[in-house]
Amino acid sequence: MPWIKTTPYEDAGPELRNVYGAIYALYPADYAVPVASLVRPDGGSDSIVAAHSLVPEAMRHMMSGLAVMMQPHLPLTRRQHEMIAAVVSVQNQCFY
Amino acid sequence: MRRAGLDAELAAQLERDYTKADLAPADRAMLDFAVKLTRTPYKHTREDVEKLRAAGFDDTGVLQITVIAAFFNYINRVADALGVGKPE
Repeated sequence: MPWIKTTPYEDAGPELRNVYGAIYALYPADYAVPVASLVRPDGGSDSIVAAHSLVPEAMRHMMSGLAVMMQPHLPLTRRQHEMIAAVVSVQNQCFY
Repeated sequence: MRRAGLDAELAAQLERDYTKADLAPADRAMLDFAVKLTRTPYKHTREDVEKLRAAGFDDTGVLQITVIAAFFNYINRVADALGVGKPE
C-alpha cells in the first residue's frame, strides 16, 4: 500500500468516483484489463491514479493527459507505448 | 515488467539491455530518444528530433514519444516517493 492516505475507486464518494470514471473513460478500451504484475496477493492493486486521490482535481488533470496521448488514432501503437514505459522504468530502476 | 502489450521475451530483453533487443529500427530510435530524455534530457538537440523523423515518425509521433516518456518518468518518481506498488 502507498505510504500516504489513498482512496481507491471502491471506497470513493460521489465526487471522487466521478473523477475516477472520467479518467478511466479516456483510456483506450484494451487498457481496462488490469496489469497482472500490479495486482497484490490479496487481489487489490496499487494504483498510481489512486496515489493522487487526496486532491481529486489534480488527479483528474495529471492522469488524463497520458490517456489522451495513448489514443489509438495517434501514430504510436500500444506496443510502442509499453516499450517506452518499460525502458524508462528500467532506466529509473522503478518497479512501477 | 511484463505488460499486456509486450510478449515475455521482448519484455525480458528490454529489462536486460534494450540496445541488444530484437527491435525494428524505428523502435530502436524511439527508445534511444526516451532513454536520453530520461538520463540526460539537457543534452537533447534538434538533431535528436531529426533522428526520429528519419526513422519515420511524424511530429505527432515525436510529441507522443516525448510526452509518454516524460510521463513515465513522472509516474516512476511519484511511485518511488510514495511507495506505490512496493511491499510494505
